[in-house]
Amino acid sequence: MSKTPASGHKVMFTHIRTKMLVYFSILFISTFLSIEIINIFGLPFTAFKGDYAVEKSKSFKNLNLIADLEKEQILKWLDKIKTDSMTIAESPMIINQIKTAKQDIKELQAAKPEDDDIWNEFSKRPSYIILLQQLAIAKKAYKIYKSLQIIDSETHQILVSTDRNELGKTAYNDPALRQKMKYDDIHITPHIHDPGQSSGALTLDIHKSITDNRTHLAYLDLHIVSEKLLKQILLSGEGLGVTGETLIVDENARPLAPLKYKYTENRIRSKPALLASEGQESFMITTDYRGIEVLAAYRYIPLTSSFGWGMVVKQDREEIMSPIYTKIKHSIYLTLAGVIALAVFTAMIARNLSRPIVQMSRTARAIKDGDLSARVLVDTGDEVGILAETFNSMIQQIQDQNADLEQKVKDRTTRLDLANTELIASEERFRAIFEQAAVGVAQIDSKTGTYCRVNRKYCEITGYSPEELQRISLAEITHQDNIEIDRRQMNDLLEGRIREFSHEKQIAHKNSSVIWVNVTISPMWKAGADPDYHIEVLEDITAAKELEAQLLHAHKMEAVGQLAGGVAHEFNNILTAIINNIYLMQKKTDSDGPISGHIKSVMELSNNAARIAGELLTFSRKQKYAFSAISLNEIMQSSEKMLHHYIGADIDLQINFSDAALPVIADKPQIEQAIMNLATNARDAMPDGGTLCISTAQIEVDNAFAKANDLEKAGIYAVLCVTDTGKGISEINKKKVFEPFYTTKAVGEGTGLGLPIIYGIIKQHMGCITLKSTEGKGTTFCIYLPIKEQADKEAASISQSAQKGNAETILLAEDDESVRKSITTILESYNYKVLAASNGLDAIKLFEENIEDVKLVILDIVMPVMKGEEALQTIQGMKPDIHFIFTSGYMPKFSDKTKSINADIPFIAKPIIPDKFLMMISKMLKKQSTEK
Amino acid sequence: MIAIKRYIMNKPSALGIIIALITCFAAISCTKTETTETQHSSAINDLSTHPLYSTYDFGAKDNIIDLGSQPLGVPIGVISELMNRDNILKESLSTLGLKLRSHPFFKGGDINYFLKNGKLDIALAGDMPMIAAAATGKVIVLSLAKQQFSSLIARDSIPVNELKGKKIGNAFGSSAHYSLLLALASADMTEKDVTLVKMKVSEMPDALANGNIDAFVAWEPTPTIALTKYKDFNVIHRSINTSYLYVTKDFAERHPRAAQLIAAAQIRAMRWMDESEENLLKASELQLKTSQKFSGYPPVLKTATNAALIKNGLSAITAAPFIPEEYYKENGRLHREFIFIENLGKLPEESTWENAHRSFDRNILIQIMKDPAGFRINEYDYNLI
Ligand SMILES: Nc1ncnc2c1ncn2[C@@H]1O[C@H](COP(=O)(O)OP(=O)(O)OP(=O)(O)O)[C@@H](O)[C@H]1O
Ligand SMILES: [Mg+2]
Repeated sequence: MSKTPASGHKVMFTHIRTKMLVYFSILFISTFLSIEIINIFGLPFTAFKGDYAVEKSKSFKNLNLIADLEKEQILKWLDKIKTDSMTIAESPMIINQIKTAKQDIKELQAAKPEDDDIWNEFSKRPSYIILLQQLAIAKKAYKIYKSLQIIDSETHQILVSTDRNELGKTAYNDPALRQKMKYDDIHITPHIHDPGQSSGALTLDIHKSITDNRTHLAYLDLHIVSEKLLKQILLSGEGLGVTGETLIVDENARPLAPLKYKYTENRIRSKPALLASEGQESFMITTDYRGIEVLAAYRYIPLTSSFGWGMVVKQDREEIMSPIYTKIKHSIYLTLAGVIALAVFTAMIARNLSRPIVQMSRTARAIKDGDLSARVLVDTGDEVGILAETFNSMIQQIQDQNADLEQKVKDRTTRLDLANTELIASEERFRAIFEQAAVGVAQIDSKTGTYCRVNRKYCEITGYSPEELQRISLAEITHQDNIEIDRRQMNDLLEGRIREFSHEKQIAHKNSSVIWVNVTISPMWKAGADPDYHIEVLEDITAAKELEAQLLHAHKMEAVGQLAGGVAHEFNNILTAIINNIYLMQKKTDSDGPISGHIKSVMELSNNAARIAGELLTFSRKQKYAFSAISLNEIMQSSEKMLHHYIGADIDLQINFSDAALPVIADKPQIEQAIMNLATNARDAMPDGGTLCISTAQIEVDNAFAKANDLEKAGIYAVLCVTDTGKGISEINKKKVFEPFYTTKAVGEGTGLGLPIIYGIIKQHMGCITLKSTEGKGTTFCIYLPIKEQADKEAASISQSAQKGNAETILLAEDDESVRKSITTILESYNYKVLAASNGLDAIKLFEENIEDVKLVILDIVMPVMKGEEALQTIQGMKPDIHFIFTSGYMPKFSDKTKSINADIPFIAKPIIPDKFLMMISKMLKKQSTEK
Repeated sequence: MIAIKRYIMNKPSALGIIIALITCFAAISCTKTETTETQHSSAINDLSTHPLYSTYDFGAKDNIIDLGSQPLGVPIGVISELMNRDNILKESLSTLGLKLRSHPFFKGGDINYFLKNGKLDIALAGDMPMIAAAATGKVIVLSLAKQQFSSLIARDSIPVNELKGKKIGNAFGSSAHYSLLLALASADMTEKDVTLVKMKVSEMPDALANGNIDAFVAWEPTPTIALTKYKDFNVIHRSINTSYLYVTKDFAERHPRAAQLIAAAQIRAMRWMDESEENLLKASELQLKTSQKFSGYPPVLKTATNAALIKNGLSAITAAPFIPEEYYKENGRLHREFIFIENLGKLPEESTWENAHRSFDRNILIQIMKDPAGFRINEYDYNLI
């Protein structure tokens, strides 16, 4: 089980009980072991040696003791032999007998120099017998001698020997021995007859000088079978246990007595044997000839000054140390048992001691996990008990405080949440106000004039993204003309002369178009210091500005139109009378008569005058139009010839017709004139030649376009565009070209009426004209005319010829007397009864009087006392099914309020063309009769 | 179990350290007093300023024979003692117009120093100084004067290998020094494994007893003195030491007869002591007196004990003190010793075994033995007062 404490550092969790168990076990084991180990091996740096050292020391002492004893024994034994030899050698009797014996031999040799048998002889001599007797006694007494001999020191012949066969033989064949014996009193020579065999092979020769008064007589040789004796000494040693052994080696480390264990080599190669044979004595732990570890004591046994034997007393280490091992074994068992017992006790004690602590830790964990109601149920009556009690009361306090704290936190959190929500809402609100404002809002750094923050609308107006705006300043997008005034205003603002400013100015849109804006700049005030930021409010007023300009234009046109229209109207009235009179004159005179030519010429001139007046009216839209249903393509086709004639050879004329029929309600000559005017302008714009392209098309116009170009409604329009590749029109001049008398041409070349007339014509046709031009590239004028479906019928009806009436009564209201008279005359000449009134009121009176007879009412719209429309209403009130025709020198505006009332009333414009008028009357009357 | 046994047997000291760690016993104060003097070099110290030796009168008169003796060694101390008292020697030398003068030294190495610089003519010293002198080719070795053990003594009966790192009292350049080297070699150690403390043999037993040293090596009678005085001491190693009578070549050439007379005096002394127990005890007594005078220590050994030591030291030497040819033959005792100390770098540069080998001259002794009467080796006239 592992736990992660607050620190995050991972620590193995171990139960306190386990810890106690482990710690105490370690303590016990180490203590026990220490005691045992100290007991066995002693305490370092102190005099306390420990069993091992003591036992070892004891063993060494024992070995040394045995070694010393055995060495002493051997030395004693050697001493004894020496003493034996001395006893014999120094016996006066023997010395005397040797003297005699030597004398005897000399005598025998002198007698029989070549005879070997002198020794036989000699053996019978008393000297020999006595000597042999003596030697035999010695041999018998000591039992260690193989043989005893007396050797002549001069001839080295064996004088006497216990071994009869040796008699007379030459001994001391080794010259070194002879040399030694010259000066040495006693000498010992070992013999190993068969080194391979370790049993019974060793003999030791003792050579003793026999002197008489310091003169060498002979040597006494004692041949000893030392093996038997050594064996006796070596094996008699006690206290060497089962494995103990004493071995004796010569100076070449050859064993002198049989070994206890099997060994095949000649030399003992173990260290103590070698060292001992070299003259050293000590003891050590080493391996013996078997290769087994032993404790060994070794000694040197000097035999002569030049050689000695080595002796090793050894015992297997295992045997010596076995009590120690047993002790160690017992100690380990005891320790283990003790440790186990103590571990059990410790476990019990640990359990007992740790129980309350474990319980406390459990409770603490429960508390940590959130259960503050957990309590320690410990009543041990000791420090732990006090701890538990304190712990419990602490937890109680914590629990109380916690509850209190929790409530407080809860309250505060609720309040904080509320405030926070409000704050967020407020923030959102203000952000929304800022972001979603319908005007552009920007926060501007007062010092640098750069944008800090802008809203969506601001970006929309300027075309820049917020990021882009942060890189530019307000001045950079302000129109050249406005910079100076902006700067002045800003200065005033910063210096406190004004609190804010607001003005209209032009700025550059990102797409490089110029837009009009209303800018309001106010500082973001802060207490006691200059403002760091300014708030800029930006309103796009381009549309309003354009509207304003259009309105202005319209008003201007309206004024000019009024003037021109008024003049033309007066002329028209006069001309109507003139033409009517001439018409009558023509009818009443013979066509081949002398004045008919004059009349005809006057008629033509009058018509010309009427045309000019008409032109003025066209512009002022007071012209009476002759509308008919016609295809725009058709108009274009009929103009084509004339166009070629107009534009000349330098210019390449291209005409593209739309596949669609493009039916329109139009006054053909007017439209033709418009086309001609446009073509003329195009030609004039291309003095060095170019391309003139005229095309027609059917285009669906949307609401935006309709609204922008003052069109009645959206829908399908017939469009005719005239495009040239001429010099183009500058941006500023684009507005001016439609003004009357605006021209860039030289005096006499242009009057500046061409485009105004077109404007008037197109307006009259409920259409519009657009202009696109790039200076140096060319210009395109397009005229839009509404497509009319029912145009066919109307056109058809117009084509009918005038018919005479059946004396039907027609009420005519016309304020202009000349017109009234001429119309009356014409109508009467066509067999109609005419009731003429000079104003609306008169007309009503007349109608009232002749209500049954009047079949048709013709009303001039503009009349004094009562206008035509008022009269119409009254008359309609009296007789609803009566038919009317309106006349007027003005073209009625369809947008006028009157239009809705009189939408169904046919209208005929002045100057009235009699054929057309008569045709309309007969049609109306026919219609009336069929209705009945 | 076997493994533990092996471990315990092989690593008792390592285990000891482990125990020391486990038990956390505070190290009992055992601060070593680093007053030890170690000497590993073979160079002989300059003894011209020696407090005692510098007082000696080596007077460069041609008629005086200077003998370097060692009163603190048996049996050579007793031999020189008897030589000094030998009226026959005195008489025979005087017929040559010569006179013997003896100077006591603490060890053979010191004698070599004065032998080398010509102050001494004759030396009685152990094998190691003898070889050191002989290897230079400047001396002639006349006779064997002792064959006895030198002993390495410690307080406890411990094997030699347990002396590792311990302080050992040593007389540098002495034959006991060689014994120590042999002892260390027997436990596969060298001088580097122990700390040698330079001291006089007479100071050693007390130094060991009061813990200044952990062991010491010395020739007789010091070991016997120590074991007599301090019963709990233990001999932990012994090795055969020999002592020799040797003279400078220069002296032997100038006074060949005198050299023979000196050698004859040794034989006479040995034979006189061998003659009777009484003689031996007398010699022992006289030697103890001189020894006490020289060392300043009262005698620890009884006259009889000392006599036994003398007898023991001479026991292997028979009637004639010939140096056994086995000693200096190839791989003989002395040859081995030469190689051993040469390998340790303890010999002067010019030393060779050939020099040493040539130094052993048997003829002088042979001539004496051939003419016992002429050299009066069986006559005795000692001034025993
Ligand atoms: N296609 C065109 N290319 C270039 N400039 C043009 C074009 N059409 C008209 N203009 C400019 O507009 C001005 C006004 O033209 P407008 O037709 O009204 O008068 P005018 O051509 O000058 O005289 P006129 O009364 O003889 O037509 C012209 O003087 C000319 O500067
Ligand atoms: Mg024009």
